[in-house]
Order: sequence, then structure tokens, then C-alpha cells
Amino acid sequence: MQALFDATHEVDTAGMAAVCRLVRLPDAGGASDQDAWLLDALEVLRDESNAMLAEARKRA
Amino acid sequence: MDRWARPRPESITLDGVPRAVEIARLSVGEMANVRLYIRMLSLQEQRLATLADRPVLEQLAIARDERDANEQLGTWISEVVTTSLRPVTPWLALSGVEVVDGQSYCAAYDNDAILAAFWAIYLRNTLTEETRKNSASPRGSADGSPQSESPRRGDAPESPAGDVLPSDSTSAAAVSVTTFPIANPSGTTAAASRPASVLSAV
Repeated sequence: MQALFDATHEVDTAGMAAVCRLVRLPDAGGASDQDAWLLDALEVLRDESNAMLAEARKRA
Repeated sequence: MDRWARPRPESITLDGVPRAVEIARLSVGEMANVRLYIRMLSLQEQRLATLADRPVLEQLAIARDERDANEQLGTWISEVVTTSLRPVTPWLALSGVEVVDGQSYCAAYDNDAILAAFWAIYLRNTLTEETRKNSASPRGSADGSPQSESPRRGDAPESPAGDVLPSDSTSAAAVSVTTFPIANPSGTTAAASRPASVLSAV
């Protein structure tokens, strides 16, 4: 799952703060063709990553 | 997306016997439809709950409308079951129909069992709240200690415990003869965890 997350997400540092974003869909096709459970799981990981980025920002 | 590449195991109790089935992975588009049907079931239940409080003529009119709507909703729900559930090994139902796929499942059983299968399909394609909660890092110590970041982000969705559904049989769903009212979605049998592998497409 970690590898899939890394392959589909990037940390965007262009804005005010670094934010982890989905930049590639995990599977072929459009958004509606994706595995629903998997996208939900990736969303959880993304939220978690962004929370960790926010915490790191606070500590900096 | 290959819906059957990594099916999810599930057990549904039918005619008093637990039956092993596999559930396909639903796409985002399919899940949107499933959620819409669930919403419609919920609204239907709300309408029926207040039916007795209405004047008789109004009750009759509502009942006619519900019958039509219910027929369509039942068709859609059966379609979900037909396309997204299959037995691990075929079995002969008490009705005399051999269950070899989702279509024969719908032919073999009544609304109760079809709705139970529908809920199982929904639940097995839904990230549980438990899984979501298990994924969260402990945030009590935001002091930079390693402990505060130790649960790495990939852990939770692969957790066997987080993906297991509440026990008890799906056949427990209470369904009347003529409708597909919303039922308690916690009625599926706990099954094995999903495969730990990830998609190979990336």
C-alpha cells in the first residue's frame, strides 16, 4: 500500500504549505473506473500524511 | 480495473447454512450507484414509517407509488448482486436452484437474501470507521518524538482486523414481502482479511 501511495501521490510545495496530493490514478481509466475501496484507503493515507506534514510545520 | 482480480471473501447464511461467496471490487462509479440505492432505501423506509399516520386515500396513493418505485429499486439491487457476487463453490438452494453465480443467487432466494447480499457487497467495498480510526497516528505527543509518527501511513488499510465486518448472519436483515426496506448493515458475517498485495498497475 505504501508503494502504491508513493506512486500516486506527491508533496506539493508550491503553496503556502506543503500538501500531499493525488497526482495519478492508481488504475487505468477515469476517476469513476477506480477501485472505490482503494481510493478511500488512499484518501485516509493522504489525510494522515497531510496531518503529519502539518505537525512537522508546527514544530519547524 | 479487473473487478474480480482480488475478490473479497464473505460468508452469508442462507437457509440456515453459511455459504462462502466472493464479492467483486466495485469501482467508484458503481459505489456511487450503490450509495444512491441505499439512500433510496432509507427514504423509502422513512415514507413507510409515517404511512399509517396519513389519510386512507393518501395511503393508497403512496402505496401505489411505492410499489412502482420498489420494483425499480429491487431490479437495481438485484443487478448489483448479479454482477458483484459469486459463490466460491456452487451449491443447491432449498428452492431447487443451483447457485453458480450472482444471477442464480437472485433466482434462488427471496428479497431477504438478496438484500443481505447487497449489504455485504456494499460493506466489503467500504472502508470501515474502525479502519479509518486505526490508521490515525497518536497525536497526543506532538513534540517530535518518534512515537508520534511511528504508525506509518500504509499500515491501516492492510490491517486484517480493521477490515473485518461485524459478526452475525446477513440473513438477519429484516425484510418485508413487498419492499426492500433499509436494514441494519451490520449483519454480515466476519470473513478473512483482504489480500495484502497492492495493484500491479503502478
